[in-house]
Amino acid sequence: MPPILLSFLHWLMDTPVSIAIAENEVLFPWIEAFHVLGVTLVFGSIAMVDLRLLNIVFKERPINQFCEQYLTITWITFILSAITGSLLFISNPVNYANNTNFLIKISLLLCAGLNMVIFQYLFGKKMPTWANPVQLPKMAKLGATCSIFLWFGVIVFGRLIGFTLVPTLSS
Amino acid sequence: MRSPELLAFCSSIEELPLSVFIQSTSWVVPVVQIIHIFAIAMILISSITINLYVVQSNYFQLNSINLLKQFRTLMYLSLCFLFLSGLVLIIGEPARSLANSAFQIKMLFLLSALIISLYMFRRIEKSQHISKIFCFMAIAMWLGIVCSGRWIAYV
Repeated sequence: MPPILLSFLHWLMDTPVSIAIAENEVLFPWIEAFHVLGVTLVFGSIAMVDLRLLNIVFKERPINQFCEQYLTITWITFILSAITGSLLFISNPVNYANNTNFLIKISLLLCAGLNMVIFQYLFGKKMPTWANPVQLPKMAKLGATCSIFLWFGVIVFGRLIGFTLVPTLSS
Repeated sequence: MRSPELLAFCSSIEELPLSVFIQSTSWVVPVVQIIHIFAIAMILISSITINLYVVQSNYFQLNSINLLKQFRTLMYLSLCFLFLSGLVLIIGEPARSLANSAFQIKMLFLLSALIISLYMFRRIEKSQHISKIFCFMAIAMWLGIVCSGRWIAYV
């Protein structure tokens, strides 16, 4: 790890917010509980969108309308997950940054984000024109498949962090 | 609640061959916990969809009863995975779960959520009116299940 990054993480660990979360017996578990809540809802809502794009379930619903409604839940819960996730990271930054599972989770998260941006760029404007029932472009199905696997990985490696990290309070 | 009888019951489970296997095999608990999380993710989104449909009948525009049944099926299927994975976790670490106050609160939430959901499904099937309070209660119970579930590790 570059020395400048390491010194930044040490500075982060000495901030009052970091100390408060790490030392408070109630704060860390509550933040983690809300993080799990946020992540499960992000996965659940994205899975609905992806399964619809893959034409596996909910075939009766117009794609554009269906996706828009679930993506509202996705964004709200993603913001919740990002805020709580950042707070958890701040509480123990050096250990998180050295944890392989955490690094894999963040990498998968970035890939999932990139996948969403590419999907939006390629198909965002075309979605309202997709009739119902519709033969979806293969690239859209590929994007949905990648999305499911990437988010699946985010949850798997996210949970594995708890088994490999030196915890603040408990695993 | 942490009575001597309950602790003795937990000890008897811990001695079962299956419990010994789960305790001695390092990958079982992480894998089963991951399955548990995916199951709760599917239940949460199904429950929120169904309840928001009832609260604001045009929110998800589930005007097809077949579609509502798909969400119900998804919820039941996920519940099976939730129960089975939960059972494995209990057998593997009985004292950590059964004698844990956060787990006991989680079970109360689960029981309430199931009763409310079953009541709602029956009313929906008969196209009967459902008070919005039940919808908010059901969502609150499922959110409570996730939070209390995570608290098991800290109590």
